[in-house]
Amino acid sequence: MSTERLRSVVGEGFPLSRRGFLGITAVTVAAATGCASTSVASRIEERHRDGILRIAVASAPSNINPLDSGSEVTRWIAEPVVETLYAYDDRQRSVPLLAAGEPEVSADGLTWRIPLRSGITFQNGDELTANDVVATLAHVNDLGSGSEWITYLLGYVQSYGADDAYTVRIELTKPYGLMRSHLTNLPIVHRDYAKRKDAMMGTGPFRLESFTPGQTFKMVAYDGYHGGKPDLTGIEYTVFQDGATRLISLRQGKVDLLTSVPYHNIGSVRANPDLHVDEVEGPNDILSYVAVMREPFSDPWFRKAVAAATDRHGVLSKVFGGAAVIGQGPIGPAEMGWDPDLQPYPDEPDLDHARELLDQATTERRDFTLTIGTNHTSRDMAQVLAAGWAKIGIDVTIQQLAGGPWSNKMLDRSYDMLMNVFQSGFTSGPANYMALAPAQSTSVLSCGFVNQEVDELMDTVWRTSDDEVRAASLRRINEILVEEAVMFPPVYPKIVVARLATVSPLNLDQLRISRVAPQNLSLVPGGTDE
Amino acid sequence: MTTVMSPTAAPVPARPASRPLVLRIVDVRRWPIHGVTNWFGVGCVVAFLLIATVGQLIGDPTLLDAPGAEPPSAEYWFGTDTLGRDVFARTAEGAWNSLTISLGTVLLSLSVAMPLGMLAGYHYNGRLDNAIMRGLETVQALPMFVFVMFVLTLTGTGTIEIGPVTFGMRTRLIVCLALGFVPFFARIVRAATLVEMQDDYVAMLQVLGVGRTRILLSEISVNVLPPMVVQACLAMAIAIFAEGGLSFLGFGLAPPEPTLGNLIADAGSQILEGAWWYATLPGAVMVLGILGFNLLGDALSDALLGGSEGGAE
Amino acid sequence: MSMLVAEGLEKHFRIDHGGWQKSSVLVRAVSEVSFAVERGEVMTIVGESGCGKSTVARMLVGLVEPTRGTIAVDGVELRPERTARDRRLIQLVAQNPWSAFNRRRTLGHSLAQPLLVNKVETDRRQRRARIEEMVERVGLSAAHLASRPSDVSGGELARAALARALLLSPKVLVLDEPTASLDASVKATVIDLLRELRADLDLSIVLITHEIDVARMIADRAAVMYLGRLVESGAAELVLRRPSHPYTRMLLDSVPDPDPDHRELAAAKGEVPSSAAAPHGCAYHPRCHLASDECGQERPELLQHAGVEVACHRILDVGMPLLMPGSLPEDRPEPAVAPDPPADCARDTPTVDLPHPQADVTDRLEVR
Ligand SMILES: Nc1ncnc2c1ncn2[C@@H]1O[C@H](COP(=O)(O)OP(=O)(O)OP(=O)(O)O)[C@@H](O)[C@H]1O
Ligand code: SF4
Ligand SMILES: [Mg+2]
Repeated sequence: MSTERLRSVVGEGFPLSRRGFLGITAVTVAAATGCASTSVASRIEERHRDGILRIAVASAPSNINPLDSGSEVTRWIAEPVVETLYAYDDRQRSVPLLAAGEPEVSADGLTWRIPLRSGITFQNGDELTANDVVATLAHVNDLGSGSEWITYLLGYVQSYGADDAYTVRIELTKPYGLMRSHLTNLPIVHRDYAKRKDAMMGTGPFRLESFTPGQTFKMVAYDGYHGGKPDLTGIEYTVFQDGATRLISLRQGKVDLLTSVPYHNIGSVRANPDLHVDEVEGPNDILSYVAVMREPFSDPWFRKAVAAATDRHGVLSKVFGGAAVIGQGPIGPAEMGWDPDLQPYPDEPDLDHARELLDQATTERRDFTLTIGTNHTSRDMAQVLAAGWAKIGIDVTIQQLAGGPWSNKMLDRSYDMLMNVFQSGFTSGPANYMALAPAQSTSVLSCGFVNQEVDELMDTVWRTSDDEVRAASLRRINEILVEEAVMFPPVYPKIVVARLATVSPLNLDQLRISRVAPQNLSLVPGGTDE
Repeated sequence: MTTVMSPTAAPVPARPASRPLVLRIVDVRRWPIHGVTNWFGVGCVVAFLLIATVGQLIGDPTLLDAPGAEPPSAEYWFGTDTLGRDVFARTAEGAWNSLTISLGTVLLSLSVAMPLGMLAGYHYNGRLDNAIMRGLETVQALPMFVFVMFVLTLTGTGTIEIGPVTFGMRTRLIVCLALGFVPFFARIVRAATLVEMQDDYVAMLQVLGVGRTRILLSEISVNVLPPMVVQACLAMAIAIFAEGGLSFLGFGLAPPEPTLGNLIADAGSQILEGAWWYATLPGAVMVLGILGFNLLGDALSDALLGGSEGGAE
Repeated sequence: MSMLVAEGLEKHFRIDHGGWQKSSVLVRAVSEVSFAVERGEVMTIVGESGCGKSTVARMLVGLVEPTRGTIAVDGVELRPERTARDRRLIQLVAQNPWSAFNRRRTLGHSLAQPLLVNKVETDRRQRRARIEEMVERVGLSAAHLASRPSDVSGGELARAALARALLLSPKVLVLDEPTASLDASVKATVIDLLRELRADLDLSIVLITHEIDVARMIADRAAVMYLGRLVESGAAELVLRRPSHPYTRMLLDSVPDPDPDHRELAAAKGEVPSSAAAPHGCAYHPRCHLASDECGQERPELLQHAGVEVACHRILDVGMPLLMPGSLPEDRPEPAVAPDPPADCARDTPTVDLPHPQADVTDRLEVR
């Protein structure tokens, strides 16, 4: 798993800014001076005359190169600007976008030829050619670039080049079925921009016009866009680190859309008639795994007891406000390999059963440390879980670590149990391969769990080009990991997006793979009727 | 300055000689606390201490009792938080945690700053003074909040073992916060020492043969301490606030341990949900502590530190 | 042999003006000051503010290290680093009794310090007894030991300060303006006490003051300082009543105020130059009505003249020493209404005994 990526993920919740600190004040003041809804409505109408959609996001990357990170932090901002060779249709199948058609794969599976559409231009007017794709591939395959994609490509991609202006050739070292997924998620940028960390240049319908690092990003519609002309004239992203402040600005009509609604505020969003909230199951996982190589989790009975005593319902209702699904194995309901029939754990913990399991454990230990990120959601979740485990006599110390120290802990395996929230839609669509990596004994992130069947299945997952086979393998991996109680996330959180009623509905099929796709939205003066 | 004067009893002051200090402190009638504000301050501190001690006997601060956030009721005086925990029990425990942290911070920083400041003041413009002042400036040049966060980010919220010594989060918080207060206190001590040094009595003591150490420890210190008690009470208030700020940013005690700061931090977003009690009641207790310690600082400075009385020494 | 001999005392202070140029000024606070005080004798040093009187006092007790010169008491030369033995030879009573004591310590504590640190009396009970004896001797009661400075009056504090200095039974006592901050009536009782102590203890006293009447009441000998130098010294009844030096005359001339409470030198005429830029030649020449060219070029030596030592080029032109106004008993008006002493003050001094200057003079003549 990419530690860079994790750093950025964990970093999201890291409220270093003073803004978070001032949040309370802002909330209080805002609440006190909150305007009547009629004036809010007229203010929105006034504001919408410019045709600009305003989006509030929780954080923004300092490096805005969309090739460097697959995290939603970066990609939600890059969405209207960059496009991929292939894209997911509404049934989450990969279909050509910048590519002119299906890739031509050699019989041995080692050579891929991708035809490009002609006449597509970047936002600076330059035509898209194979050279741009090659520059993109060069960047993400460069170990020194720090791109997250290296973890997916290293050891598989041997070389790449342009056969002609509209044909890209990729040579692989071994068959790599997952390549198609990568081509569907990896954005293609202008060759001169592939290495830049302070600019974006893609073929999408909007061009990044200006930005203040970490604060605002302004996009304007690109007239030369190859697809349908967007309704919006522009899109503006503003960062509000504090969840409550973010929500207030939506309520007051200062922004139109909120990408990550704080789970602990979900109740008031749902209750507000001026807002629409979309809650969909998506590749949004609670990474949660235990150090199997060390006591107490080396003892399967201890693991199973902990898994059985996990207060899933408490987390679902108290932390996620119901916007989640009870967790079982590592693979969630929106991900490939999900097994709806595999329900070993009840909603409410079965404490008697958990105690029986614990009685069989050989380890003497009745305590462990739960290492989480610094975000509010993780903290609440850890407290609910710890209270649940305390009921069977297990004493849990909660350790909150910021991004860097958290991933160091993961890499040097000095944790007992790790937890964090991780979204993978922009790297693997309807799947989360990275969440499974610690279960593979050969992975650098291995948690010490050694199971030959899992190792082989994992290999198949990455190698096969047959989605059926991949799904079946994932299902089996999930089953084993649940059985062995190596990974047992308490819930699968939903992706929650809120918007004003005067914004057209989101494509929920795209939201299921993390895509908000604001470029396809429009402003509806009277409000939508849903 | 408020002092007990008994004009009719002069020239023989009516004070009983050599009563133990503890008794003198406990004897409320001797506290020269005048006026409503001072007694109000004492009242605030007492209420705060009661909540932090006796209050802890009521309810369980970590039990997920209720199904979610509930308004105050007979069962839950301060209501419950989103996780269904008794906010009163958490406030009481939080008050205790905030109190121990801020008290520890102030005592630790004072015990470092007093000798440093007095030495610097005594050697005013000397080499030792310069060395100490440069050191303090270096510490002060660090943006304190950022520095504390840096240290705590590196170390996380768990316990750290250095050899046989275990540094819990509480200890680390205290050390970090205390470090921030040391330059502040040391400067005041130095300035106060300087003022004392100019005073004739120090020269007289030198002429009489009283040595440097003795002058510092038994003469100047009793004059430097009273202003420091006032400052310490003020600093207590700041420390409660600073701990709150760090908790707010996730650098306080590890959850589920409550502090007033992280209670209010957690509650912030809940105001939107209409859960007013969640932030306001712990907030009121925090205000009680901050206000109380400030007012108490004013009131007690003279009461406790009149210097040793009676007898020949 | 004299009890106290000060020989060629000099003190220069260097004052840094900071800044990046690091300029500094040399203040010659005291230059070439020599005097001797006999056993049981009171010598007074008078002069305007800033002339270096306190600096002399501080050098005498070791608070300031002399730039040059020596100090000897009872034949023992004192080094700047004083030993316990040195401290039992010479002690100081500072100008302001209010600031002479630690305000947060009881008088008992403060009075115990000299005995404690010099290991004069290590037994607690004996120390206590000795302190009580001393406070009673200066007219206080043992009960005062439990009070703090703010709880007692200025007169009582002045007495306590005396007691503290005397606890080490010094042979020489230096009093730097002991009465400057006291009320007139209290002042008189303190001076009475001093006289008494001098007689009882055979004390040698260096009395620094700018109150001429106080000096006249008690001094046997007097020295006049101007800008760090002695300009006249000799028997008090000569120097303070029939002055020779033009400066001394001006000084005493400027004491016409019939109210003895205000008989001070503050009203001396003319601007006093700073000791950082003392004029060439006779430092007094810019203010002297007799000044000649020589006065501005060459510094006059202290020379014997008419029974006193005087530093003036034109001493022969000065004329016969005059009897200064206010220096004879009949010139001195009694205060119309005796100021009401505070209640506790009256208690201190059951008999308010205003000094009689005439008796004073005869008294002193007898001693001689
Ligand atoms: N520590 C010092 N550093 C620098 N200059 C000093 C110091 N002490 C005294 N002086 C200077 O030396 C000169 C004599 O000062 P001193 O205090 O001895 O005068 P004084 O005759 O006692 O005056 P006063 O009647 O005001 O007490 C003054 O000009 C004073 O500014
Ligand atoms: S020497 Fe000259 S200036 Fe100095 S006092 Fe005598 S006459 Fe005056
Ligand atoms: Mg003086």
